[in-house]
Parts: sequence; structure tokens; C-alpha cells
Amino acid sequence: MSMFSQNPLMNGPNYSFSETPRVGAPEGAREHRFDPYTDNGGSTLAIAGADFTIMAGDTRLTSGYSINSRFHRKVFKIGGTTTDQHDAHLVLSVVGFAADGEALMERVDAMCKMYRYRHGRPISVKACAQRLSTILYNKRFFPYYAYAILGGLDEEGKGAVYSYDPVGSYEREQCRAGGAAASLIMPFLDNQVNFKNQFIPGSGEGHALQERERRPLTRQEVEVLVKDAFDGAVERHIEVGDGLQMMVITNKGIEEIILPLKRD
Amino acid sequence: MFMARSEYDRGINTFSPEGRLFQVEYSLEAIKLGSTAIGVATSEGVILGVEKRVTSTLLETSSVEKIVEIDRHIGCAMSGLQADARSMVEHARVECQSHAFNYNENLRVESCTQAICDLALRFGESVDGESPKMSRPFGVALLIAGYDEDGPSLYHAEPSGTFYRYDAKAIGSGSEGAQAELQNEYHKSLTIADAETLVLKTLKQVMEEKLDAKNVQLASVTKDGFRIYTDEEMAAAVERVPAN
Repeated sequence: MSMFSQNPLMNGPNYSFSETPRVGAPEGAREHRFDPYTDNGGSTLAIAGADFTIMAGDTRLTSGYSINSRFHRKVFKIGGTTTDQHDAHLVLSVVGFAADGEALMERVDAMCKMYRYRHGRPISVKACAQRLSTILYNKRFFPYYAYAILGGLDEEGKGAVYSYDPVGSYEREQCRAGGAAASLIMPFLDNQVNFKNQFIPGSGEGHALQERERRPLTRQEVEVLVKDAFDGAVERHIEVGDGLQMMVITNKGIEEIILPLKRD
Repeated sequence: MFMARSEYDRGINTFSPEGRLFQVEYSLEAIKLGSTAIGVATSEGVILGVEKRVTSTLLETSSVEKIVEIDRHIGCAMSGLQADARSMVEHARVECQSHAFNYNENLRVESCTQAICDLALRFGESVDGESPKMSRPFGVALLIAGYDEDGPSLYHAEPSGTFYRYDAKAIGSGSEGAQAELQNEYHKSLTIADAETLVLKTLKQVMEEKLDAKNVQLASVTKDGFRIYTDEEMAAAVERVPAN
């Protein structure tokens, strides 16, 4: 029995069905419970550029204080016509409960294939984004425990990032971090992607200070930001580490880059 | 062995020895009894035109509804049993709304036509537990006009469940003459106004009654969507038709 289970009540391995300790309950009384979810840790990140989108995730899979895998993908190509997804044009990242995330990914991928058969063309990122929302909301009362981010290029060829909560609320954004280290990475992105809290020195006093003007980041700059963000998250969050998986979506296709992260 | 053709008329899903489905073929005949409907596609949009048979001077002509909206970007004209068209149009409308809800985009015109045709062969004896079906094929043909990301398009859907895309198509009782006329007159550089006149001129040739603003109806589908012509616009369009 592990002391390090995430479920404070059970203090044991996370099986779906289990007896909870009886505290102050009459003899013979038993409380039954159903714990279908586990948090498998890890973090994801997506940044949209002028003509590209980068989606990233670490490759550690945890359960409590245990590392179940040092190389488990969270970022998936979807919408292609083959099993190796060589012609895919969309990327879905999922973080939270790995089994739910992968089930969700399989469903969205199957939906994209059906769309291609029915309408004779690949699904647009906008249409896929709306469909993903309805898929999630359809399980409103037994949700996929997954924080999804969908990335691709929009009709004009601009980078597009759509982020979701587990029940389907979604929004198109410039950048988004998800998962265990989201609260560590997101403020960094606000500052480095959207230049929040950056002012032009000497441009005024107090509220008169002028904000630094936003400019689109290059692919090289974004790649460096992603690596820095994860290096920082690995340092401060125990559920993040081992490897960094990056998908770069451009009009030439999707390139996958795998880099090492600290394994401590 | 002699086999009367009528033996194979009864079973709705029964092939004849020559490999024909008579009920489906008869349903195509029902369309030939219907009033004429014409569609003409141009680069700017599609024009639909129908003949309204005004059987009585006491008939309120505005109640004859042979062109209907399916979605903001798709409309259709019908010929044949109008009541049958109602359930097809209803199905198409649901399909369009469902697509917009799920995908935040307009349903493509070809996909909408396909959805209507999927309905066409759901007839015959229904099996236990299955939702009830039509007892016979639909007796109506549709001209489906729409404007999607690929621009304007016109489709013809038959009760047999087949559909084809056309530049210009006529259905109904006057379809043979009208189609020949369209064949002669159609060219790729027609404008919307040219198409209006072509539709009315063609209808005029095949109609038994004298064409006026009350016994025909026009509608258009452009990038701004589907629109049925008002009485004033109808009067103006009829005015422009050459005299003979």
C-alpha cells in the first residue's frame, strides 16, 4: 500500500471501486464509492504564431508520487487519412486523466475522418473546435477528465489555438498552458507572448506608462519560449519532466520534435 | 413463363426479373405530372423559378408554396407531390441546423442534397423496432440551390435517391421543352438578371396559362443568402421578359 496515493481518504492505490475507512460509522455500515478518475499529471502548452502553431507537452505520466512512464505522449496529430497521420493538419493535446484524454483524442480523430468522408474535404480547425466542444458537453454529467487544446491553421493560414475545460467551454486564444504546471507557465506566457506588464521605459509615470507594443513572434522565438517554459515547470513541479514533445504546424505539414527534460 | 408486370408492382422493394423497381419508376412519373420548376446557376448565384397552377380565380396565389428555404444559404424548388416535399425539406432543415450546431459552419450544398437523398430510399415495410418508414417512394423531385464556400451550386434530387449537379435544370410537366430551351440559351457568363429572364422566358414557353406576375415565383441564392422575390420584384422581372 502506497502512502502516496492522491486520494487522501483511501490512502491506497487508486482502484475505481474500493472501501473507504470507516470512521465513527456504526459497526457493519459500509460506504461504497466509485472513483473512476485519476490525475496523471503532466503539462501542455500551445502558442499560435502568424503562420504556424506550436503545441507541446511533457512526456511524464504519473500517478501520485509514482512515475508510470517517462515517455507517454500527450500531443497527437489528428484528422489525417492514415494511421501514421502523415497528412494530418490538426493537433490535439490532452492532459489530466490519460485514459480519458486518449479516448477523447480517438473520438475526435474518428470524427475528423467521418467529416472527410461525408463532406469530401478535411475539417477546418474552426469546425473541429466547435465539434470538440459538443463532444465534451455531451458528457456533461460524466465528463472526460481532460483539459484539451486544439491547434491548427485557420482559413487564412494564421495559427489557431482553441482551449477547453473538461465540459466543453472553449475559446480561441494566442496561447494557453494546461495541466499540472498551467499556473506556473501561463503567467510566463502572458508576459512573453502577449507582453503583459511590459512597459516602455520612461514613457510616463504610473498609469501614463505606455505598454510595449505587441508583435508576432517568429517560430524560433516560440520554440525557445516553449523550452524555457518547460524547463521552468520541471524545476518547480514534480509531475512534469522526462521529455518534451513539440508539434510544429505549418502549411508544409506537422513536424514533431522530441527533446530531453530533467528526469529527477 | 408469362409474368404480368403488375406482379412486381406490389412489393415495394421487389425487383422485377429485368432488374427494375417499378414503384420507384412510377414515382418518377408522378413528377412529370407536377408543375414546371427551373433552376439556373450563374457565377453570382442561382435563380429558381416555378410555375404556380392557378386553378381558380378564387385561389389565393400566395398560398401556393413551391419554393422554400432550407437554411439561410440553401433554398429549394419542387415539382410533384408537395406534401412529400415537406418531410424532405424538414429533414434537410434539421440536418442544416444540426451541422451548424455541431460544427459552427454552414452545411455544404452537396452534403445537404446527399442528406435529402439518404431519405429517399427509406421506404417499404418497416422492421420491428425500427422507426416507421414511408410506405412508398417520394413523389417529388427537388431543385436544390445554395451558396457555400465553393460559390453557388444547383442540384437535382430524384425520388430514386440519385442526385446530380447542373448548370441549369428543368423538372415537372414542361421539363422536356424547358430543358431543350435551357440547353440552347445557357452560357457561363450569365448574370443574375440574365438568369431571371431566362427562367421566366423558358417558363413562359412551356406554361399552358399566360405567364404573369401571379402565376410564377422566383427566388435567388447569392452570397447574401436565399431570398424569395416580393410581388413588386416579380412584377418588375416579368416586365423584362421579351414579348414573344
